[in-house]
Amino acid sequence: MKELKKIEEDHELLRVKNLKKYYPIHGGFFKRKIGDVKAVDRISLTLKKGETFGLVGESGCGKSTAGRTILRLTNATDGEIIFDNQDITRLRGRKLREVRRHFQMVFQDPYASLNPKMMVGHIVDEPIRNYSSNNHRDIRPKVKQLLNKVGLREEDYYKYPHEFSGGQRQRIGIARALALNPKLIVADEPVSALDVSIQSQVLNLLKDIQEVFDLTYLFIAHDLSVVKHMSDRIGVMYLGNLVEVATKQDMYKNPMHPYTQALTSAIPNPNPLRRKERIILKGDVPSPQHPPSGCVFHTRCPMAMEACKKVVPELKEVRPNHQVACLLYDR
Amino acid sequence: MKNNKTLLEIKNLHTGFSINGQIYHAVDDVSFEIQEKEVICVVGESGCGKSVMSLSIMQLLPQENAKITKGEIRFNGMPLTNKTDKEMNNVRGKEISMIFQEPMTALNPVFTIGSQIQEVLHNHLDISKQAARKKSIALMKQVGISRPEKVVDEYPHQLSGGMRQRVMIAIAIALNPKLLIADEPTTALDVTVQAQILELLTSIQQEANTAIMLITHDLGVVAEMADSVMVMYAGQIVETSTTVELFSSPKHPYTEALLHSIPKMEEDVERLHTIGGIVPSLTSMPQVGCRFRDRCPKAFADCRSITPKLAPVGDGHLARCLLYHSCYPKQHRTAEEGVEK
Repeated sequence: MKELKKIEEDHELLRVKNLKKYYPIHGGFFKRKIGDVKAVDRISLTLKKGETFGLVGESGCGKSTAGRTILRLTNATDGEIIFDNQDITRLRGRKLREVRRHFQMVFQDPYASLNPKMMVGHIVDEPIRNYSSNNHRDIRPKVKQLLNKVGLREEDYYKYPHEFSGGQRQRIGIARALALNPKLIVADEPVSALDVSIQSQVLNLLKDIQEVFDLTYLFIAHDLSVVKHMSDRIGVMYLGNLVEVATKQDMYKNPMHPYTQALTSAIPNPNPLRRKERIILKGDVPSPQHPPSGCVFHTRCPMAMEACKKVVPELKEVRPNHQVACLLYDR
Repeated sequence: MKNNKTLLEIKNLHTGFSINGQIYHAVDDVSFEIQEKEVICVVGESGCGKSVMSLSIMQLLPQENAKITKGEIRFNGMPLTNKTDKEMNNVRGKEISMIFQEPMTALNPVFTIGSQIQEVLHNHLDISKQAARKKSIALMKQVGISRPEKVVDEYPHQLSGGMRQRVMIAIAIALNPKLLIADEPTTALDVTVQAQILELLTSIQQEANTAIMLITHDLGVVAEMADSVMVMYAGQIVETSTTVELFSSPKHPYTEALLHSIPKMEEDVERLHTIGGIVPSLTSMPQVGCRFRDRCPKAFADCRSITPKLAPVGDGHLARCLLYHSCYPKQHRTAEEGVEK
């Protein structure tokens, strides 16, 4: 199976450089701007064609905002997004619409992301109709084919979302994302609302269609074991910053950033004979409105040094294909 | 754990919901015991009846359409099923208490944290206001809330999810209950916070000798916490054993499939094992035969016509599967497609 999936090493599909997304806070007299929520604070990453890049982190770390900003669903505050050799950061109007057909999103909540008043067939064909003058009838065979590909039946075209279970709804969402033959799919927590037995069905489906449709994934999730299963490379986010990027094997065998180490050790291991010593982090994630100075993790880091309070660590390659933003590895 | 006193005993519990005048059982013939100080985990997917079972124990079922139709629940030898609401109030919180999944919705947003902890103290003890306040601060300290003197006057929205769950735990352990029912206590929380809460629960169990019934869908949590495990499917217990035994040699095909379908950190597999199909809905539950048969890779003809019983398959290990009934030849147990007998 592994051989089938080809990552084109020299074909960079997406490059994100120093991406920032700040949400202004207004308050006080005349509702002036009094601060920023730094949801995404200078992240850089690249996605090669055919690759799956996993983005993990806890709630509020900015992983979803990163995904949405990359897809231009919200505008970046600063930085560059280069998609297929084209800078899309500031595209507007018709030009933006034209590139948008190449990236799609699969959402977390299969109950909220489908319009309950629309027939499944019409939900799935909406992206196609958006970009062509076809009516429902012209593209019905194509849509039915799509439904087949994601493991639904042709008759399901005429049904409504409430008639489906969570896992099947997620399949509908995936069919909709595939409708325009996109190059990049951002999957934002696609299985976290599903039961384990259904979760594995959807994960397998995502892997299958990646081969068939030649897709590149940005896979966002909080569950490290799911991300590891899906991804080729993984990026760990904490409070708007990317703190570590590595191949999945490296990330699991040799996590280098203290936050990644804590995160990996916090995952309950489904093996009762190997109950392990955990690194338990103290306290909560600080508010992104007032992120700590220096390294954002220093308030909870078991290995924090004096310098961590002042110096902002840069994401640097410390081993081949392994980038870490931590002063411990700064020499 | 075996030689301890039995704390909770449930026999043939049936809990039914009436839908359009008909009664459908969300919990169907469930029997088990919880010993003192034991940590027992209940696993299963959504809709398997694990939450309804815990609400049945607490007598907190929605009264307009749900009720216990058959069976017995005994706590310390005393039957709970025929207690009035008033009598149950003396049990809830004092003897058995419960932690819910959503710490955001389980706390009342318009009362301070302090007053919500003090409420349970005032309800059960004859205690002065000052003493209750002091006790609530002590409780918050015990569950690891920093600066409890401040938090006591704060409102739930000022706390993070993990902190709110700690407040819920403080309320639950306020009167040193003998049994703590935790219904998905960490599902809404992040992994690092989950690790904190699980550690807290373990320390409560060890220091206060509280038995814990932990309801979860996360097999990782089960492996970390439980002494013994019950696996539920479609309202029934399909397998029960000690944790180590269950993970090393699962017997029921459902348990086996469940264990195989989670992605594991230490393994690299290209494809995950899947269980085809979905759980039958409450209204379309098969009346005869095994409830897992349509999704079971090992199902054979008799699975449709004979209802399996929960039968011993090893030392303290029970499974509800025809494969382990002595009248079936062993070949079925390994055969991919069984032949009709």
